[in-house]
Amino acid sequence: MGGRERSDSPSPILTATGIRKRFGRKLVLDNVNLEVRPGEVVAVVGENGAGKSTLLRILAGFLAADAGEVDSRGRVGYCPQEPGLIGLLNAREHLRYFGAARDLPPGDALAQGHELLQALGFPVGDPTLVQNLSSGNRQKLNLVLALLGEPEILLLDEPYQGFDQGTYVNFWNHVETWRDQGKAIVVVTHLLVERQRADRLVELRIPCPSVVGGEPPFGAS
Amino acid sequence: MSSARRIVIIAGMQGRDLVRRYVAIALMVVLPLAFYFALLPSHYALLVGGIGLAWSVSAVGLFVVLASRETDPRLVLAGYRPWELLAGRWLLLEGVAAILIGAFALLFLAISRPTATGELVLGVSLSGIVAVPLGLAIGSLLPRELEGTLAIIALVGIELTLPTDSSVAPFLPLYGSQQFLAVAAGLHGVTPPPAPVSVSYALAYTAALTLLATLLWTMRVRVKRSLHRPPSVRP
Repeated sequence: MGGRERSDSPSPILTATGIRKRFGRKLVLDNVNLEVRPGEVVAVVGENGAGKSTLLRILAGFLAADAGEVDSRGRVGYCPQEPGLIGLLNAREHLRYFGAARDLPPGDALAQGHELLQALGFPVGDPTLVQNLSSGNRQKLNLVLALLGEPEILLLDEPYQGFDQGTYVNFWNHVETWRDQGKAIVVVTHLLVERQRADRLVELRIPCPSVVGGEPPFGAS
Repeated sequence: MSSARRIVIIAGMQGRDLVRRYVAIALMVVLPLAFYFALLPSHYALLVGGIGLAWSVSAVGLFVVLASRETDPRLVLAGYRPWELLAGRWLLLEGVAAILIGAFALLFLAISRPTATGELVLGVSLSGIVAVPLGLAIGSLLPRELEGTLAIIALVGIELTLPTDSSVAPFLPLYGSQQFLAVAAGLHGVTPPPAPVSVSYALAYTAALTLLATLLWTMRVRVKRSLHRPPSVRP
């Protein structure tokens, strides 16, 4: 797939080639190609059922493609649409649990996690169990767990669901910061206004003849 | 961070999740107690209570697996190895089983006062030990609450209703512990197998179920690499 090719652009850190996925008789993805480079934000758009979440699950390795190849050359942080959290643990325990997976000592996991949570407006230190948190705060924790350990690739599946207006705007400012830090970011989104914050747009269509991508950004610098 | 440290952290977090399930913990203790007290003063209560303990422990194992099925792929993607997650849960469940084994063995000894005390302790211990990988294997094979629960009810239920000298009994995972419990309860109509044979059965089932759970678990939660080359880019 094309895209904004610049002579000085780094080589792709995440490449998907010829991805095909079928659920039963329903073809969801067919010959989808995607390249993401460090320091790039790619927005994945499309109607409901176009396979956006399925594509991200395949990129993350949660789902195997029926055909095609995914080549990722960095650590992946994945924020699913539905927070995959443990209801009877609190935020602090989640940070320790996920931090250990990233080889972070508990103190470092908490320090890093609290900084990220605070930036998103999460009440740091709140011992409330996840099952009793508001959906917005659950989603903030969900996002922070994907960011823990500084992964080079971020796969974000509508990560702002439940965010209030301020946090939502704040989220996109953070996306720009993460891009400037050199992270490769793939964001599934619906809203037109968000597309302007991306470097490239990838549109998936039903019945998914193939991906249409590499559109220049709508006003992105 | 070493695998051992990560396994302890996993066990600790799963333990916190488990201890906050107050009703489940109460039922885990009440179920074997109910089996046992319902059949007192018959010594058959020892057999049913011991197998009931396995029922509780395997059900907890099943739900420990199922409760985190949405989170596990994320934890693996974040860096845990699938076997570390399983080992953490195994460690927690063996700890829970050890507490229950100790408590129930003492209770059975105090109330039923069986003459074959060694057989009773062995029977209860093996029940708890085999039940851990049994619950983990069923949870890995049938990752839905209803199907998993029915499988445990079926397996342990058959174990409870079968005569201990039935030709089918050796094919069930709790056969070894069932033999010891039957001796402790004085139920054997025929000569029971020698103790080393029953212990071997229990350990073999434990090993086989652990292996099965590890294989199924790893297949389910591993990161799935899509590496099929599409026709257009095949060399």
